[in-house]
Amino acid sequence: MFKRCSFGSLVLSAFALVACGDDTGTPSGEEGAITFTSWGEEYIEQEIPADIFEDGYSIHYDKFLVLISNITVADEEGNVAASDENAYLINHTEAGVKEIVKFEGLEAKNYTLVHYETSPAAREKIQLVGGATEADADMMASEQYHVYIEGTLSKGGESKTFKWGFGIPTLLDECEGEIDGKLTEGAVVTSGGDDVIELTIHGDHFFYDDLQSPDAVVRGDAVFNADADMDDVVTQAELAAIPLVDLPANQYGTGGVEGVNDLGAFVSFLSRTIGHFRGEGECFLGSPE
Amino acid sequence: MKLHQKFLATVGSVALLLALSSFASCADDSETNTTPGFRVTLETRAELLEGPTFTNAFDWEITLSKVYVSSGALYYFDGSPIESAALPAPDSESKLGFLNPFAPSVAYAHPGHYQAGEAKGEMLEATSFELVAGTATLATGEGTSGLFRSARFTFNSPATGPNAGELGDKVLVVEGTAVKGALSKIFRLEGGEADVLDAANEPAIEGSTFDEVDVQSDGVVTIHFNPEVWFDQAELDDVVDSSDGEPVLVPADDRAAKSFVRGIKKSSAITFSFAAD
Amino acid sequence: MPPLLRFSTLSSFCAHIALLSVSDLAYAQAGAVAPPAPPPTEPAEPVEPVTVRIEGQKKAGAASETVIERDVAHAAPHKSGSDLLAVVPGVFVTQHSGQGKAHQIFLRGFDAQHGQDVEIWAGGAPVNEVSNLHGQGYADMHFIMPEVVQRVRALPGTYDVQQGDFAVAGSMFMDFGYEEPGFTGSTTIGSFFERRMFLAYHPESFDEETFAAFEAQATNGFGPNRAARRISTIGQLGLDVGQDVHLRLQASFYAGRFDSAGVIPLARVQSGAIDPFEALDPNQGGDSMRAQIVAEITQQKDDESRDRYSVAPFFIARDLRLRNNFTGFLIDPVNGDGTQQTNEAKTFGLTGRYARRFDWLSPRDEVEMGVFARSDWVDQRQVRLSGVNDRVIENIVDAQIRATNVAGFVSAELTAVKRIRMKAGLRVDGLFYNSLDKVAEESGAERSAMGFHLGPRATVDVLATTGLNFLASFGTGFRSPQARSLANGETSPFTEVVSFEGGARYTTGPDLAVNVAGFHTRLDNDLVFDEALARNEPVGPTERSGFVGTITSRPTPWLVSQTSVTFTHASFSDSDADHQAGDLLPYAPQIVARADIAASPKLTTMLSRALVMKAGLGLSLVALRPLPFSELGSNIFQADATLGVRWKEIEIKGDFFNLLDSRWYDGEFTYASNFEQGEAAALVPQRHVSLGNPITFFATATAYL
Repeated sequence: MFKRCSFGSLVLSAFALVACGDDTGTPSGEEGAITFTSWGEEYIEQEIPADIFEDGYSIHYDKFLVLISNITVADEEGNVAASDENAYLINHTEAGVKEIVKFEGLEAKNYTLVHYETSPAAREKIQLVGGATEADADMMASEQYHVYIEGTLSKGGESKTFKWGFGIPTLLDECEGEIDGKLTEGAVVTSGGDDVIELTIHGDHFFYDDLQSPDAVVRGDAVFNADADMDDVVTQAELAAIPLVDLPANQYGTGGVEGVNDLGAFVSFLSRTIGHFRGEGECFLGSPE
Repeated sequence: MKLHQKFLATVGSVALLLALSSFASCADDSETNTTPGFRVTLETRAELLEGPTFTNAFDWEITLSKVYVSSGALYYFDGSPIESAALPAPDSESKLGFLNPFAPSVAYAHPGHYQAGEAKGEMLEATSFELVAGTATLATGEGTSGLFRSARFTFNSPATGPNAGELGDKVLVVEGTAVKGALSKIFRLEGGEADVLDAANEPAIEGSTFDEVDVQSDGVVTIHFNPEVWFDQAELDDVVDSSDGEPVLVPADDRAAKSFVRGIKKSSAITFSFAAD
Repeated sequence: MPPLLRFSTLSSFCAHIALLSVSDLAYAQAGAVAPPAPPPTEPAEPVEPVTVRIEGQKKAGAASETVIERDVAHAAPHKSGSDLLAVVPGVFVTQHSGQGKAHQIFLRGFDAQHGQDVEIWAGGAPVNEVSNLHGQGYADMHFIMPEVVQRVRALPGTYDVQQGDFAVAGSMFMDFGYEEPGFTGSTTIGSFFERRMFLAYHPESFDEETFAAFEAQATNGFGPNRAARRISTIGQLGLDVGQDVHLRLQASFYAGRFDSAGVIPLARVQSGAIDPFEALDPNQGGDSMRAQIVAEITQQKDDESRDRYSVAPFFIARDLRLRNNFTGFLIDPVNGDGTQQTNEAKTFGLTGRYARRFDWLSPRDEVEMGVFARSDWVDQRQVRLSGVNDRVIENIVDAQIRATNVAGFVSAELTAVKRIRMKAGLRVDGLFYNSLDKVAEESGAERSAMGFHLGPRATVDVLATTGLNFLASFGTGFRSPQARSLANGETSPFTEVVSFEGGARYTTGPDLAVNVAGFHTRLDNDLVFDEALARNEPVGPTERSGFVGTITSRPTPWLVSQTSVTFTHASFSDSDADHQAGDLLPYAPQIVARADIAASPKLTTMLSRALVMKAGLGLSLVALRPLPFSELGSNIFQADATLGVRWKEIEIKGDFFNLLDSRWYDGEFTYASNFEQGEAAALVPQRHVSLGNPITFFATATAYL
């Protein structure tokens, strides 16, 4: 009798053990972390070489300041697991990957909704990372820039410098990138693991020749020749004085982007596209609420 | 079980199978559960978004008399267009006053390129039509239920259909008058296939906005052409005056023609909408 | 494997028979052809020990479990071992890419693709291939000659602890054997220049387990680009080693080469733009090779100890090349979308079982433990080829996969008051995957993942009255993933499967068996072919519910029939942007029915030799096949027949496939393609079909020596 009851209860227990449906949303009790870093790659740290440019120019950046803010991690239902409202100012001409923020104690699971911003910020929210200085932060806040670049555009022994600042609030939403060769949405936290996510900044985007086409190439000619007063400095006002209609018809297409009719507005739009995810991964472009 | 009962079981089971096959061949499960989505029929129309008269950025008041279009296949997608993702209204303290003050909006595309997503509908038949005279009717297309957000418009060369003669090997021919102060022009502008080729060498305009809609029935897709975008940056000062009242063909190297060509490549010049039956 | 019994004396054999007649016959499975038990007798004087092998069947683990014996399996004609699966209740098989590519299998609402959801074993070795580039669980059964299939055991659901990876819809075990004593030689010629030679040898002093068989087959196919040829040989030897050890050795070798007509857009067929037999890309096809070695040692000591064990290591080498073009010029308008996939795999593994009987509630109580292990070394590559000059346009995949599955299981079976049998067990599977994808962006990036799955299983079997049993079963299983789809460090690299079944089994013995059952299966995350992306995509949880009924009857020794009807409702469990809860899953048919009938009466006697007629009929019905966008696929009703006479050593027969010559599509898919180069591509998914064979006739002459 005892043996029969024991066996019967074992059977019932087996049913109860697994008859409760899937446990996808059940907390597993395991935790891990996500670390966000940023890097400008060699294109910003060293140069964009001439073989990258369709027309043989090269770029060397002296300063490349980017404000990264409002990093948010959420699951597929939109439940926010971690968020940081700080604005981190990074000078990407300083070599190396820079750590921005680390979120610890996160439940081990997939967080498919990750977004961040490259937006102007108030001075008190700006945190310095890497080679960014207090003076850099003061300037970014007073001018309300989200990105500020200084550099030299060269070809065939000739060169022109530029110092451009852009202040357009930009949301980079639903980011996805490759983890070990596998395209993955957002972040993946494993038990005891640390998902290191690099918010990669692409310095060549300022010189794309199309706002929509995936086949856009990098060009320098139009920018180089925008130096109307021939002082070897290309200003944003000089860029704005170049109507796109005066450029070759098969270059500088604007696709579905409205209100971009000059080279200045064109480059300004491109300033919103420099943020990427895990190297070559992408996010949806939007404006913060 | 007796022998005859076993035979009955044998024969009966086979008869059941045959009866079931007859039932199944007539059965229609479509009124109960089905797989997600369903197919829809999409009629196609084309029209001017606004009237034929508008003023461009250089204060030319333009009135169009003819707009001939040679169209190819049309495709509708669930991927979002880039839309007006360019620039939010500048802060008053910003030094970026030269930027065009467009209101902020949410675009939903990967920066630098548009991703069409899943094809939701299409109309594959090439034709030609004229828009100033009124709404044109194109061939009927097909699609599947769901969200429509963007579209691809293709031109076709040489033209086919009712206005093939007026178009020839051109994909777009526009005639009209332009007035600015004392200046008055009667113009003809043409766009060839080479003017609208994309990076894949296709005469296609990618990423046009399809007025976001959840299509759940048959209906009508309307293509809205906005010549104001074509002419927005056109400076017509250098266009030769007409001596006989007939439209003057603007040469391709004229600034007005160049801005026209840029304009017709903008996906914002063509938008789509859907109306259910 | 069936339990084997060893008897040292005739008396102990007879006593065991008496025991069987009380308990085992009461739990007899449908379709089992157990010889009637002789009356027990006492020997007048001591006799030499007689070794007798009785292969009884395990008791049913579920109401719908079936064992299809040779007479039912071969009632209707079959062209290959894969075709033979159609006899299993609820199974529908299609072949959409040539006579050499693994069939696509549908079972109980599952589109198992080429085997991802149906665990298949043949001759004691697994057929499913782990992480095969073309499809997870790819099961190519063309190495199996229909003549050497002795029986097929079908275990639906996941109720038995011996069911492992790929057992989502269920498992099938094919046992090899050949009964005709001596030499068999047959030649077949038929429609579309079909020619086949079959040779076999079975020594009369051995049971059907020992045989050797050879097959060479070739056909031009029933339309352009459908030619195929194959060669195969299987040898199996069963030896008694000592008094209580049995050794089974098996080796098989196979190679096949085939062309494929691929699929065609249905709209173009219906409009008359293309011929339904046309092959839109003539470069499609492939080749396949397999070598398999199995060694099984089975042992049972004397019946007092009630111990038995078996160990069966196996080795499999596989090589597959497939060339397909399902989309024409949609992706590459210039070079075309043709791809070539190659997959080479070596598999080592073993199964081991140990069972012991205990006298707890009854003398039949038993505890069984076992292990399973399998390691796969896979090299795979996928390239896009130019349709113009076969040049490699793009390297898509170049990967190495290393996979190991190790499992342990234990189960206990108790019988209370001779009427209530309860079986419960637990299986633990550990799965490890390592993948190195050299083409991925981070070239050289290597990923690994490992996880464990706990799979409890249980069955309660109540004997209501003689011959009538009611069963309820429960079990959990898993579906393993493609190794390349895993992220590094994933700890749960599989889909959870939960199955329930309840039903009844009625039998009066070998002459009549009826079983009916209702079933329900849930998956926590399913894969469905996405018509927009033209590949399988995760869709969240799904469920399948249905019922199945099977009647097997042998009213006379010369007449046998099996009829089954399966109805399944497969649907999404949750709602999301793409579907609502309750929406049907596409592709798996809701109704699958099959009848196999064979009559083999003795007509007369000529020259002291019996003249026996053999007539057989196989009827298949597939109906209510949901397709995307609320469409239904075409119903299929097929009739295959055979008619022949055998005069002792000589047999002549004719086989008809698709006797009604119906126009039918065995494969139907919905996705976008563009086979009209230069024309505007249709991007909205459309229905594509693969044409089924028209009426086909084979004539076979066989000599038995």
